[in-house]
Amino acid sequence: VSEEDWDLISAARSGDMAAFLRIYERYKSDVLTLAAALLGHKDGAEDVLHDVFVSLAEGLPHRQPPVNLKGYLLTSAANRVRDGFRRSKREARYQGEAVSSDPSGDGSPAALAAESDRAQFLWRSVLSLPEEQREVIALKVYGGLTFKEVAERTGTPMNTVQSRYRYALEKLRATLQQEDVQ
Amino acid sequence: MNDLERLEQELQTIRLTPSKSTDDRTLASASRALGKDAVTPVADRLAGAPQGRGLWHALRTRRWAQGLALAAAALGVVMLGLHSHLLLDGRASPLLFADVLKSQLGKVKAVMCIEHFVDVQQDGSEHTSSTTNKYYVTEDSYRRDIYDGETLREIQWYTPEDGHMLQTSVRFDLRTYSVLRHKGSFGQQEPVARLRFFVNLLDRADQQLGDQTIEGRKCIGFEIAASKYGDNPDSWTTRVWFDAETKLPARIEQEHPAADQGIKARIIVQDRFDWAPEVPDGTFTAAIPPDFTKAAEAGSPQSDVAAPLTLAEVLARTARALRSVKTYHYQMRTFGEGSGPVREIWAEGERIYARGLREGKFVSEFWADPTRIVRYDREDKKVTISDAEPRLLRAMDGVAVLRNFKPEDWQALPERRVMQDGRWYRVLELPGTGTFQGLGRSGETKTRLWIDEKTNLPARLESQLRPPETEQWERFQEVEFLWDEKEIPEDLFVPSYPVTAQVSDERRLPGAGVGEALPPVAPEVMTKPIVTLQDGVALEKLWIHPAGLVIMRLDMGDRLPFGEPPQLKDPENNPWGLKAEEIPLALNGELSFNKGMGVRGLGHVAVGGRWALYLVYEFEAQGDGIVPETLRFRYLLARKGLPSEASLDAYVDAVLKDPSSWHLYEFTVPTKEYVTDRIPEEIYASPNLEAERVLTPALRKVLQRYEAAGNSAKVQEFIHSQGPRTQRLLESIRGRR
Repeated sequence: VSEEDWDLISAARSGDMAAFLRIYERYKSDVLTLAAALLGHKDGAEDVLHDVFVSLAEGLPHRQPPVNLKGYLLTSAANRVRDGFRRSKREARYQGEAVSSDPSGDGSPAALAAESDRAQFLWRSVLSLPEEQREVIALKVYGGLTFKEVAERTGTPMNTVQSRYRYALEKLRATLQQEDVQ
Repeated sequence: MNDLERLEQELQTIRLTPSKSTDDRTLASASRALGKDAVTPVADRLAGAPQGRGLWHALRTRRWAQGLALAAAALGVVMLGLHSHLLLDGRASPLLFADVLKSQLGKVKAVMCIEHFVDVQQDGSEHTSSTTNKYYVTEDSYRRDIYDGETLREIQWYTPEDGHMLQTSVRFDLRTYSVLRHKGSFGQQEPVARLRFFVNLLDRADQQLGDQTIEGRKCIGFEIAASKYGDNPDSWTTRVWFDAETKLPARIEQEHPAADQGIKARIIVQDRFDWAPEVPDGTFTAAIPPDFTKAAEAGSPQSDVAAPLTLAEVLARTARALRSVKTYHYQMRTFGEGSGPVREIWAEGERIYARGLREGKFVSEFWADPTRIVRYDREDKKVTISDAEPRLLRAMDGVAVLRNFKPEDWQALPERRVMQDGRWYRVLELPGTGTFQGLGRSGETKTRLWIDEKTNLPARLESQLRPPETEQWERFQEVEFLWDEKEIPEDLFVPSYPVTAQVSDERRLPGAGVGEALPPVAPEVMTKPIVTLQDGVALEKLWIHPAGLVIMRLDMGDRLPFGEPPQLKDPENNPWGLKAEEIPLALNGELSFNKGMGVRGLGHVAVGGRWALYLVYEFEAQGDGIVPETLRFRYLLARKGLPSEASLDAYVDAVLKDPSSWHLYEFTVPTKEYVTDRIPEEIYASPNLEAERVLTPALRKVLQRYEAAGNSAKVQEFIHSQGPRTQRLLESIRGRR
């Protein structure tokens, strides 16, 4: 856990809501993106986001703080998707969800607007991937897992995971190329 | 990096943003979850036998404190609806008990406490004012010592006289005193008087608060609406915490919203109570030092400036004052969502040191001198070194300092004067609608500039922002200036970073001229935005102030200084016939510095997801003087289908290999015309000021050393190792000798 995360967790454990807000602002997009990529839609992902952070708040006073806060939150999100939200899975749909670039980039609205067409198209393409490929993309790209960890988590041979990942990327690339020539 | 790796990178940049309702819902639930466990019902605590016995024990053993302890206990009991059974075993009603308390309060001999002020920011963080009051309170008098930090600024004595209250104030900073008579006696600030209030309101308290540790003691708190005890707004609240063991009050807070001041709320806090202080004789006897003079009556202005000034006069005085500034230091804070670190800047001549702090830790440092800029990012442990151009260096700093100081826009209230801490300030106000660049926040803005009447220098710049469709002004940015600070450590301006940091030297980037092929661009120079173009006709404006402070504005086409703006829908300016509305959505680039080349920026504009315009812009200051004679702008626009790899650097390579795919626009702007209709001549006309400012003592010293040694070859070598402007200035100095 980073020193700053540690400070924030410590403050939040003692009831400091401002510290919790900082944690939320720092990781909400990561959690939401992973959940949406796993679920295939954003609506349910917002519920996952809610539950993950409320669970964190409930547990803070009682449990040892997680060693890797981001990893903890992402795993928590992935577990919630696996355990519950899949049952209420809705059709993947895309209605111009707010997609932004990495906030660590330039972050200006204008720059985001310039990039948004391509980013939105790419995101739509991710959501339209077959579920098993999307799951690998989600866990690897947005969950930060290694192929081995994805394999263990999904109960799939690692070779299969790697193949799915490669197929997914190739499909995304083909889709983007098709868009470029239209 | 292959296509798939690039695609993987691109995927990693995508992030979704939750809806506001989800944010609100999640944070509300989390807040309840965090608070839930912290609050153990106070009733349970008080109902416990040890606490109840402890209270009575305190009452029996500390006679002088009986009143306050009773007040505290009764307040808690009645607030909780426990009424009398806990403490009085049913032998007295709450109201009767309150009467007992009031009579006991009169037995308190003295109390001492500290009062301070806490501003709650929009993000929930708190800022405590450096001003504190120390109260000494006795039965009929009280005294307030006002400190700024550690310095005692003022003592106020409030003593009874003929049925009224005599207020004697001594200002140690101004060496003045004043004596006023008030009707009646104590005000509501005095802690015992406030407790009397609460005692009268016991049965109307609103809620219990969670446990809190105050000064190492576990305390139990209660809240009461201020509207219940006076003509106060409903939103004002008072909270009182009592030591869970002694049952004595430990902290009193009065909170009220302060949106008009750009913050969420202000809390007046009284704590560090001493219920049995040592109060020396004479504590409540006013003592006026013999050489202090009587202050003017309240309400009569005190100022070195006798006559009211027009706005133009205020600005001219400010400009003159700024011109003589040698050093400055300021701290800039940005508040709210998207806020960056606190920036702290020192400048001396053309040397600048800036550092960013987040939560008290350095995150970045920045050194600049006339020859280079060194940035050190502590998080990435990365150092970048760029060539510098002195005026533009200061321009960068000036953007941060006074970007809103565009004189004709200030709908100034030059007669609006404020006295604070013994000094008079004129307050200029700038309303507007805009976007705070780089932070991505927009809305109605309001900026106030405080100008010290004595020095005529800006003292404080405050910006507030009201986002669209909201009613609330948010404090957005604040800058406090210190001009000509006496001692700036010399080594502050010397770059210092660990040898293990990764150093990227950008000085070797070749310049780009008219018709020259542009080199591939290092990706890291294309990562941060500096300006935003809209509708294809926006342009940065630079105004350079004699003190080196620069105003940077973004203007739209109809206000461009040179005839026809370069609208791309014009066939002459748009050889590819792109539709104007398709063109620039944004410019994404970063200023970089090249010796002798002014500023060069690089960016790209994506159009419709399939086409891109690649844009290179430069502007070069020409001519001598702090305000250059001309500014030359060059824009290179290129159009080419994005290659399948969709990589910007690959795209740039492809564009530049095909001369037909790019076009160069060039504009030369006569700066004086550009500037003079807006800024009075005297503000920028400053003969030979540049040589005085640009050439640092270090440069002069080196030149003098070589000259003194009679080594003309070394002198030439030294001069030619500098940039063209510095060369000219060194030559001019040499010529004058």
